[in-house]
Amino acid sequence: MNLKKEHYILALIFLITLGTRLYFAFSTEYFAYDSYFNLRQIENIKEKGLPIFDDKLSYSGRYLIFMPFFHYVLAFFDLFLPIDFVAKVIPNMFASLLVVIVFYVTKKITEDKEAALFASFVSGFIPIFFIETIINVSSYTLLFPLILLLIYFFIKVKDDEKYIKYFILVLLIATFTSSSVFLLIVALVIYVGIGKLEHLKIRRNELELITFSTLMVVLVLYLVYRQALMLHGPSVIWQNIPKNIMIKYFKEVSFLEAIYKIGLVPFFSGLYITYRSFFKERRKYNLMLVSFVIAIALMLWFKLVSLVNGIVFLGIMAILLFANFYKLLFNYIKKTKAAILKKFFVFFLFVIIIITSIIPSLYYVSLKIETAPTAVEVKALEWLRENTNEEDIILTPVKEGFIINYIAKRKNILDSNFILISDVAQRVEDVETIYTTQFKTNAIELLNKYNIKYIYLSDRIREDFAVDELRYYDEGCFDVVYYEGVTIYKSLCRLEE
Amino acid sequence: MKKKEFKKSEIIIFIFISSFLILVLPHIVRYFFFDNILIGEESYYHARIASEINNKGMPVFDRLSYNGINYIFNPYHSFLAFFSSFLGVELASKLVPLVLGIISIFLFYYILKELRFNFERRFLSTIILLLSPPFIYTFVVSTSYSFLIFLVLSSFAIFINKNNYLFPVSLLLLLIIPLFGFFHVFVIVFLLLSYMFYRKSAINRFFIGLIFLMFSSLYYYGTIYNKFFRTETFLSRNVFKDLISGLGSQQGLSIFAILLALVGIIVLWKYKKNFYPIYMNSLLLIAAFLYRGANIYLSIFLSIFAGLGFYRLMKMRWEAKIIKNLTLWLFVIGLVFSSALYIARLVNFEPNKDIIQSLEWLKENPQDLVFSHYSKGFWIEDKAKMPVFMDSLFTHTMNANERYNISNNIFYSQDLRKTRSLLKENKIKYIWIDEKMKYNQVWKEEQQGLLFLFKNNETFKNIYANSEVEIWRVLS
Repeated sequence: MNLKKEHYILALIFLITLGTRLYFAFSTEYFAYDSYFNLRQIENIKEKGLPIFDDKLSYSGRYLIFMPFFHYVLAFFDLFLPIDFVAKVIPNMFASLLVVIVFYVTKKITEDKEAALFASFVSGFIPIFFIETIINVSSYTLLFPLILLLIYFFIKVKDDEKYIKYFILVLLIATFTSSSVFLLIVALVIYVGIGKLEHLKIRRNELELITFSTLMVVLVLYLVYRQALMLHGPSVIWQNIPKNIMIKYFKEVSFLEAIYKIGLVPFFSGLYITYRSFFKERRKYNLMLVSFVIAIALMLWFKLVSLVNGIVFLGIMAILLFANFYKLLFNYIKKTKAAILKKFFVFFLFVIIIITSIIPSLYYVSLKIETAPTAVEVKALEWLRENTNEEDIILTPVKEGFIINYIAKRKNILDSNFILISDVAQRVEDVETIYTTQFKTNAIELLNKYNIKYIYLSDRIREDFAVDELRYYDEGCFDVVYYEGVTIYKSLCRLEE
Repeated sequence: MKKKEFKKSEIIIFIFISSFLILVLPHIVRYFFFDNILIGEESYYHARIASEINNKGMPVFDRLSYNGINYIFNPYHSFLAFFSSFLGVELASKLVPLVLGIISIFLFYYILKELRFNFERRFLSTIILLLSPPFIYTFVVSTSYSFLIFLVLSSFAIFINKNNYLFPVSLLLLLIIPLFGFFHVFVIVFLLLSYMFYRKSAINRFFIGLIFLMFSSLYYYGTIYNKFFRTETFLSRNVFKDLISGLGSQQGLSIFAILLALVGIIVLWKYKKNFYPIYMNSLLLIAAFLYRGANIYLSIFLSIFAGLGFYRLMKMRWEAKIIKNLTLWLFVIGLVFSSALYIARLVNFEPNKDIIQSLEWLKENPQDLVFSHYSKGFWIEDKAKMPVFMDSLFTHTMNANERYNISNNIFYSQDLRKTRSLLKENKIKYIWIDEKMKYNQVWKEEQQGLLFLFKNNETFKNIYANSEVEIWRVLS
C-alpha cells in the first residue's frame, strides 16, 4: 500500500489525540465511578472466562443483563497487561480511532481530503466526547467508532460487495457491545423514510442491508433482554431508571452547555448543512447523516438515550456534517477574490476550533478528573474490605454502588444498573431517607429492612445530601468504626416486630 | 432443476407430527416437572362445570361463582363433559384442546388451499400459525377458545366447500358460534363477507348463514340482555404488553411474526387486488386489536400475511444473496426461538403445586365464602369447592364493578373497623393470598393495607401457610 501524505498527517492527528487523552487519563490513579462495574466484569472474565451474570454483590444479589463484547476485548489485553494500564489505554485508543474513521467517512462523502483531515482533527477534541471518555471505562468508547465504521461500510457497499460482509461482521460486534446500537437502526429507518419523501434513489442493496440489520438487532436484543422485557414490559427501553434519577440525568446539561460541549463550529455548521440538505441541495449521504441527527434528537426527546450519550453522538454527527461545510466554504472562497487568502482562512478556522473545541475540552477534562474517586475514599473502601465480613451490606448512594462491589468487594443495596430491579424507586427513596432523616427509628427500620451493616459517608455524599453527619447518630445504636475523611458507621440496633 | 413436488401424504404427516409435538410438549414437561397440574385459570372453571354436567346434569345455578349466580350456557362445557365422561375431566381438559388444535391447523391449511394459495404460501402460513404463541396457548390450555376456533375454522372451511350436501353442516356449526359472544359473530360474518370477493355466487349461502347466526345470537342476547351495555371499568389494558408475547403477555403475538407480516403487507401492496379479502380483514384486525382475548384471531390473519411475506422474501430478487439467506434464516430463528421461549414460559404458568395443595387443604375446612383476587376464583371454586367473592366471569354477573371496588377497599384499607365491617357485610370467612398478589398483582409494599391489618390477631388468624400461599380465617 502506498502511504500518502494524508496518511502521515492522519497518523499524527491520531497520535496527538491519543497522547493528549493518555496524558489526562494517567493524571489520576482512579476511574469514573461507573467504570468499576466494567472493571469487575473484565477481571471476572480474565479469571473465569465468563462475565458475572448472577451477581451476589450488586443490590445484595441480583441477575445482570448486559452486552459483554467490550469486556471480553479488555479482558484479552488484561491477560498480559495490568488491569489499570489496560483500562486506561485501550478505551482511549478506541476513542482515538474515531479520528481515523471520521477521516475515511468524510473523505468518502465530500471527496475532499483536506476537509476530511480537518474534520478528523476536530473529531479528536469534541469536548463532550473527550470529557466523558477519558477516565471512563465505558463500552461507548468502542461503540461510537463502530457505528461510524458501519456508516462507512454502508456507504461503500455500492463500490464493492465485500463491504456487505464487513458491515454484517461489525454490526454483530456492535450489537454485542451495547444495546444502544438500536440508534443505528432507528436512524437507517428514518433515512429510508426521508429518502422516500425526498425522492432519493435508495439502492436495493441498501434496503436489503437495512432490513437485515433491523431484524438482526431486534433478534439479538430480544433474546438477550427477554427477561427484562417480561418484567418491565415496553418501558424496558427506559432501562427502568427511576423518575427522580431520570430527571437528574436530564438536568445535568443545559441547552447552551450542550452546544458548547459539541463545539460551536461543528454545531452551527451542522445546522447549516442540515438546512441546506433539505432546502437547497439534496445530497443523499448528507441526508443520511441528517437522519442520524433526527434519530438522536427523537431518542433524546423521548429520553431513550442518556443525555450525555445523545450529545456525544450529536457531536460526532456534527463533525461529519462540518466536513461538508468546510468543503462548501473553501469552494466558495476559491471562486472569490479572497482565494489567495485561503491559507489565512484555514489558519483562522483552526484558531477558532482551538478556542471553541480544544481549549474547552482540556479545561472540562481537568474538572472531570476531580470528580474521580479520591485516595481518601479508596482507602476507606480498602478498610471495608479488610475489616468487614464478606456477607455484610454497605449503604451508599447510587453513584458509589459499583465501587463498593469492586474495591471493598462487599454488597451494596443499589447502583446505577436498574434493569431487572422491581423496587428500585423505593430503594432510591429509602437510601435518601437513611442519609437525611432526623428520626432514629425511621432510619433503623430501613437499615433493618435491607440488612445494612455499615453506612458509608464520604465528602461527596455529604455534599449531595447536604448533611455533615447522620442526624440521628447516637452511640447506643451506631458505632463510628472509621473516621479518616470518610466516616463509616456500624449499625447495631434492630427494631422488635 | 425440477422443483421437488411434495406428496399430499408427506405434507399431512409433517403438519400432523409438528403440531402434535408442539401442542403435547408443554403437557409432557408439566407432567414430569410440575405434578401434572392443569395450566391456566379458565381451564378450572370449565373442568368444574363439565364434571357437574356429568354428575348432576346441566346446571341452572352456579352456587360457587360470586357466591351464587345463574349459569350461562357455554357449548364447550357440554363438549368437554362428553369426553370427560369416559376420559376423566383432567385428561379430557388436556386431550380435547390438543386434538382440536391439530384438526384446526389442518382446517387452516385446507382453507388456504381452497382460497388458491399455492403450496409454499399455505405451508409457510400454516407453520407460522402453528408456531404462534396464541395458537399454542389456545390449544394447550383448556379454554372455550379451543372449541370456538375449531368451530370458526370448520364452519368456514365447510362453507367455502362447493359440495352442497355439506352446507347444512356448516349452518349447524354457525348456530353454535354466537353462544360464545357477539364479537365472534362479527368475526365469522366478516370472514364470510370477505369470501364473497372470491366467489360472488356464494351470496345465497352467505344470507342463509347470516339468518342462522342472527337466530342464535338472539338466543344468546336473551340470556345476557341485562348485561349487554355494562362494561368492566377496572379492566385496563396495556395494549403493547397484551399484544406482544415477549413483553410478558400470556397470549401475545411473536414479534417476528409481526415483523414478517409487516413485510408481507408492504411487499404485497402492489398486488393488493389479489388479496382484497385479506386486506378487508385488516379492518377486523383493528377491531380485534381492541378486543380482549382476540389475539388468536389476530394471530391467524398475521400468519397469512407473514406466510405471504416470507414467500415473497424468498422469491424476490435480492442484490446480495448473502443478505437474503441471512435475513430468511434470522426470521426462521426468530420465529422458532420465540415459540420455544414461549413454551418454556407456558409450562411455568400458574397454578403450581403449592397453590393446589393449599386449596386441597382448604377443602377439608367448613364451607364458607373465600375472598381473594378475582384471578384466583376459578381455582378456589374447583379445588377447594368453596364459593368465592369474585372470579373472572365478569359477563355473567351484574355487579362485577361493585365487587371489584369492595375488593379494593378490603385490599388497601388500613382502617381495621372499615375492613372488618366490609368482611362482615359480605360474609367473607376466608382470605386466600399468594406470593404473586403480595408482589405487585395487588400490593406494592410489604405492610400495605390488608397485609398490615393481618397483624391484628383478634380479627384474623393465619390457618395455613406454605412457601407460596397464606390462608387467613376471619374471626369476627
